[in-house]
Amino acid sequence: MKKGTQNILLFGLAATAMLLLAAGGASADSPDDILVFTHKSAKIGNVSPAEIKDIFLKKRANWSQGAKVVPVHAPPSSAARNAFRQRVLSMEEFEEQNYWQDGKLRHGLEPPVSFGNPLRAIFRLDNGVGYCFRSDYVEGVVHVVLVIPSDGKSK
Amino acid sequence: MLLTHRPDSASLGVARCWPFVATLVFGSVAFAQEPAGDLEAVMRRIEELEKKIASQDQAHNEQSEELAALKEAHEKHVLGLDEEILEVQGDSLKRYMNIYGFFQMNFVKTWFEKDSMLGAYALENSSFNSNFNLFFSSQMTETLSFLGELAFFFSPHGEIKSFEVSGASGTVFERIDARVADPINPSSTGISFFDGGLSIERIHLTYSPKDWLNILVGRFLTPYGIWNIDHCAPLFLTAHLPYLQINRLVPLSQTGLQIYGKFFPWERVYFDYALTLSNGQGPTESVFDLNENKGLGARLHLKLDFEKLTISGGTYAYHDKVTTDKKVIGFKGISPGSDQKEKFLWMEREEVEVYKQYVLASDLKLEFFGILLQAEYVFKYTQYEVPLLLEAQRLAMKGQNPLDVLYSPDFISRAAYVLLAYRLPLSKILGPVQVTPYFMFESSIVNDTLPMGDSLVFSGGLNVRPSPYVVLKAEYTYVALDELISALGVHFMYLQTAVSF
Repeated sequence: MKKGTQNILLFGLAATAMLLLAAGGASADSPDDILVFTHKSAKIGNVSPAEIKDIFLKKRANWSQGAKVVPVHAPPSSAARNAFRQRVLSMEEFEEQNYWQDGKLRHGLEPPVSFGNPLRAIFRLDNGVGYCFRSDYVEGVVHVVLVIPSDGKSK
Repeated sequence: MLLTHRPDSASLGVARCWPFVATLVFGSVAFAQEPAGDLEAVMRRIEELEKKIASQDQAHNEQSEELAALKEAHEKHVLGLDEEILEVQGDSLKRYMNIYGFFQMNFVKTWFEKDSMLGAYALENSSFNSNFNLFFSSQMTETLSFLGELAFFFSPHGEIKSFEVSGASGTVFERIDARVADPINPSSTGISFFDGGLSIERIHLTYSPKDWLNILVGRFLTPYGIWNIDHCAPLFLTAHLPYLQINRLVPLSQTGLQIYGKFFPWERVYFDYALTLSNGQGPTESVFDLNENKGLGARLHLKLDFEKLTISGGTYAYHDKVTTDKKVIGFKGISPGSDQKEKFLWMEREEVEVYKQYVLASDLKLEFFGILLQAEYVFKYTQYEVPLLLEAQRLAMKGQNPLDVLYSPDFISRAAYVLLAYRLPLSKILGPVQVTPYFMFESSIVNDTLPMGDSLVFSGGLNVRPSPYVVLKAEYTYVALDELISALGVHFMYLQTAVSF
């Protein structure tokens, strides 16, 4: 093999290794990741943040697959709720309050229920969808459909 | 001795093999001693083995159950799934009836030519409550819900019932007086109280099996435009309603059936539709229809909702036949020669006004970086089958002799508004307080056959929302009217506090 070809191959290998390392770093699990989950038995594939946003703003009452869905929030003013509002709903707290107050008058919309531990609620709710930080997550209890890292870009 | 004896490898090999050898030897002897047909011992052995297997299965099942119980206990431990807590928390998933609503308080000051026709109409400086609406809603099941809205008014108290026509005898000016005597205490003759108006704005049951299919029965707000869907003063930017709402070119609410739904063709794209079938319009439409024709409507609406840009547009088409009638009772003279069996009392239903109306309403809304651009346009064609006999007031407006007999011709109504607003980027200074200056332009032609009644309206104001529940508005409005009414038009100043709760 010629030396030039060898150099090109080595450079290619090094670049691939660096890319893999970078990708590995980006996908590293963080305790601040928000995990969006459904009941263990729900046959829901991966969903988009836009669909989750529509469900939690009650713009839609069904999954795109067709099944009914009941959104369950983390408690108001909790860290998980604030993070979810910023990363998924793209709203400030007062904007969310305005949204529900206006929606109530327009269409009789009520905000989703809140639970101290959404994991607990979704464990019991067949058609529920909830979220929590990865640090609060318990393996094997629910079915994760979306991961939203702290930078807001879903995985 | 045995303890000290160390066996060599050969004797170890014999020691390991000897049970095998012994089994062979004793087995051969036993086999040789038992007759070939005697299977009793073998059967006993099989039974013993079966019993052993059954007992082992039972033990296995018991262990599995114990394991499942342990797993559940573990989950309960990890998740804190205490049954008592779950009972309490489960209650919060149950649906209760919600009661909420809104009201508004207004102050209006007007300026106009005192010697113009407006002198008879315009308000003096007034403070008043113009709305107090209560909502009731409940999500009874996953797919069944109801929403009711009651509006309480002081009106029609004070509303003008009829005008006195100069020179025409028998005409009197009258206001509607909604005062009634105290029915509990008839002796209190001078005591009366206001029996204010009450309106069922909407009351409907909705069945929602899918996002794309919702079936609603009852009285509902007509799904047209932006203003009629917003419906409540706290949601309006301006202090006054646009003229296309005031003139009710499209019925604001209907009684009947509505099928509506939403599709999601792409992410962040929403396509809504609605079909309406109702009694239509008429003097008694909320209770019963005066003709066989039903009001038919169809709505299409598209919305693109991106992070900083929202565009939506829709249209609603509506057709209806409106009938107004009267009941006439008469007596036939009973002469000595007439048949006594003949009915002497008769009653007839007489149509006073019958017309078809064709309405098209369109709306457009654009929001980007705090800027709001909103517009609505309504076109209505009224085609008479039984034209209305014009009253003296209308004749005067048409420049005719008030004593002439004339009927209303077919006519066209048009109205439009454009609203431009900007939500000031003051969140870093004012936090959640939203401050939105706005400007609105309106044009309306109520009846194209009338020489007056057209108007141009210019409004400017400030909308401040200090909390999700309170909206404060200050507005100046100028209405340019036909010269026959007032060359200088009329100026309004509104102060409004709209509260939702």
